[in-house]
Amino acid sequence: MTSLPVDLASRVRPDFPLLERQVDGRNVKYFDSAATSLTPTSVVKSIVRYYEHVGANIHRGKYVLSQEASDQVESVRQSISRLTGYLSNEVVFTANATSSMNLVAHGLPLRPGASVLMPLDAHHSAWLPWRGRAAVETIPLGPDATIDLEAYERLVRHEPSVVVINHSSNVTGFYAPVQQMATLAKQYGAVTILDASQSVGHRSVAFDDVDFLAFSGHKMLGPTGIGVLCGRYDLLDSIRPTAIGGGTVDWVDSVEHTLRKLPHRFEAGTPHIAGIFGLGAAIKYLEAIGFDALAQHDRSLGESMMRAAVKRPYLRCVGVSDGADHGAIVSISRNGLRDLNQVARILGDSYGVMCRTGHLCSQPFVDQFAGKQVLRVSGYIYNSPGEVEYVFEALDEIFESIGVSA
Amino acid sequence: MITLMLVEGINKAAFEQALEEVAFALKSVPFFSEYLFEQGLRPTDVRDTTGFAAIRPTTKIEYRRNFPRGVLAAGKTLNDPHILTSKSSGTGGERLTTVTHTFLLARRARNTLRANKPLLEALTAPRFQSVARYAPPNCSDVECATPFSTMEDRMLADGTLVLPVSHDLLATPPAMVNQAIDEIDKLQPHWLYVDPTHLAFLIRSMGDRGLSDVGAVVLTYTLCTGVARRQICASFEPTTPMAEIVSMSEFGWLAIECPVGNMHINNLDFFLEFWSGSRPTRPGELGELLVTSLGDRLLPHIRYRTGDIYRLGEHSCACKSTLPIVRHEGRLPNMLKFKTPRGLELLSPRDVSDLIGQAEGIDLYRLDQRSDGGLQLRYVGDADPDSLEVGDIVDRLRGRMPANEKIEVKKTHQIECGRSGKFVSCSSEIALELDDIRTASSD
Ligand SMILES: [Zn+2]
Repeated sequence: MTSLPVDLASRVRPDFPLLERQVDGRNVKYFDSAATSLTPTSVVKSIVRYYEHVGANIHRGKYVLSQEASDQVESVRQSISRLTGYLSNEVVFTANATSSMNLVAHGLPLRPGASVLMPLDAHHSAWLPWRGRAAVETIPLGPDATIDLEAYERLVRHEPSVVVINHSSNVTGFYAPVQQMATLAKQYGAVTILDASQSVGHRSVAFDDVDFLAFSGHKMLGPTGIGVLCGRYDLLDSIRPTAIGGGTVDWVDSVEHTLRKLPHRFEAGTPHIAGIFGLGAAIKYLEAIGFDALAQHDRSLGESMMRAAVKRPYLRCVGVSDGADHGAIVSISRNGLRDLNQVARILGDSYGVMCRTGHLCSQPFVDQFAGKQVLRVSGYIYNSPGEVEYVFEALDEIFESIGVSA
Repeated sequence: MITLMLVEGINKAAFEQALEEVAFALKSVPFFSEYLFEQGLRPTDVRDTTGFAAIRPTTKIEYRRNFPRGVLAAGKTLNDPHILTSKSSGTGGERLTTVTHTFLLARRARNTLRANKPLLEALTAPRFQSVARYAPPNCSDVECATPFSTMEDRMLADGTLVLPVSHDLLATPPAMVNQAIDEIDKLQPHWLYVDPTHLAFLIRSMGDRGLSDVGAVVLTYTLCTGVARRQICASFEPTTPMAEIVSMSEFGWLAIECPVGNMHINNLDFFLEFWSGSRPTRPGELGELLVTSLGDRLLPHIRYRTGDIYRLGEHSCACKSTLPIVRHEGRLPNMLKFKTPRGLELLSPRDVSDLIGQAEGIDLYRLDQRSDGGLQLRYVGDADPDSLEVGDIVDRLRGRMPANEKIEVKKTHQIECGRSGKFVSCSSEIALELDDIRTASSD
């Protein structure tokens, strides 16, 4: 006889010390994981372990501490290789997904008149680096805020140089059909870039036909200040490094220098070694749960959020689609109420619920679909459907007190 | 048993109204009835001074964590007419959203102004319509710390223009300072509602461009130091009505400086108590102010701990105001703390300001006490650190400290503001409660 499976949230919650924190006597209910996820104890410990037990710089000294640091950093590169399907020399450590995107956008050789296809729900960090470098064309979304695939196909036929794919919208939580989009783009000769910032840590990010993959550590239980860019070897090799200096060269005389091999030529200066240690621990933690279980939790939490939002007629939900695959994110607004910041503030101060308001670094999209700022509730492995219910019941009370719930 | 002292001229006249406020809160404010129940108090227990004093003082935390549903009176919503919402930012003690009826705020301001007739006349004159505010951004109720905002963006519903300024006052870029000055020229405000440190900074930045057309000046938000006052007074006609006021986002105007220069507190709209630990303070002693609102039918406050330390006046004032005299000393974390054979002694930001006085060579200062007790005085101004003027200041400060205290003096170009944008002239890393303190005048 087998015991009943314990749900993921209750199983992992003890690993997240922050969830024990009280603010003004109320337990923290953290619903801003789409901005930054919480860090489990194992990740914190690995960061501390670097500073307490290793301490030294990488790829510099021949002494044992430095070699230990280098070994650990390179082994994290290998775990990223396992996670993404890229070779380990195709994995570059950056500061975050934004700097990964900038590295490609500023360094990739483009022909004159090049154009870039950009989904309307792309994050500012995927979008803005291309401005001034190429003509950016928008891939429209359907009325339900999912990718309009027919429109996409028409646009791809014009042979854009680059196609950016947003794996998951940080506003709606909808997942794009990455494989379908990437394969089509390759058929027309485009370089494909996948922004997996929002999906990494929830779903598998290993796809065929994706040339570049970018994500951050801090949305997958890792530390802040560490990100990753993966790139297929030849394309990565074609990128001109935007920053050079220590760690990026093999040989220097008073006039010339030789750049190091991939991927180290893109890692100028001392990297965020402790951050890499932490990212490695985060990957280990996620792999132990398994991506099937992660995806299942993401889907079912997303469904309970969507159900709770849709059944409240006083709320407007950004993007409602029956068939679409979506994760644990929902963004809402309320007609007749401009100041959602006040609602978020009350949620935090009086209910312990931490969530975010604004344009969520996706202003063109939010402006088109909501017309103003939205309030976003986003969850992760440590959140349960019961907590989602609590958040929406709190919203009922708050809107009633504000006097706009009718 | 703790018993409340009712004092003629301070709080005796308002006590019946305070009991009515409690009765109203019990009937209409969900949080408050639970709060009393938890303390084992029944409504019938709160009928006299003993019962009233048995109510554990409320704090900002209760009003923060129960806003709005728990603290709003039954049937009220935030969307009701005549409501002003006020938000203080921060992560600690300061953070709060609160609402007040605008007519109640007006009544409190008018009653507070009774202690300053020239300012009352100036502010209630029909021609006094337009106001400019120059204050810490987080206190301004609009996003003003961006150079891209327009005058329209920063115009409040009551016609107050909030001038642009950086969170870190001295880091305000020249373009933003000019923007503020240009907007003053354009608006020609009848009066200013300002933080004195901010106004002094603006005056220093204005050079020859004067503010003398302004008809009245209200100095609030943070303590008006002597050096700020020197710069402000030099920029206006001596006849310009001007006063420091104490205002709280929870209550509006609470106390005001009279033309003689003493601070008077409004005991008409508030039931006032002053406590040092578990006993009420006598005149001349330091005590924390507890406020009970009177006639607030939206969000009443009962025995609310303001965190502000006052000293009740011992004499009447030459200005003849019937509002009681107080000295507003500042908040406990901002007071310097010294261990002496007689017990712990405090030096308040107000004391420090008095000791430094209107020093010509100092435009701005900050005195810090580290957790190990070390003291550092930083200042911005012309004075040389080795000058007689600075030496005298240090001597005066040391004269109020135990004999072996040393003060490190540093002349600088930048003194940082707190995260809220408020400038702090005095701060101590030594934490303690008021119970621990014996002050020079308390024995
Ligand atoms: Zn007086």
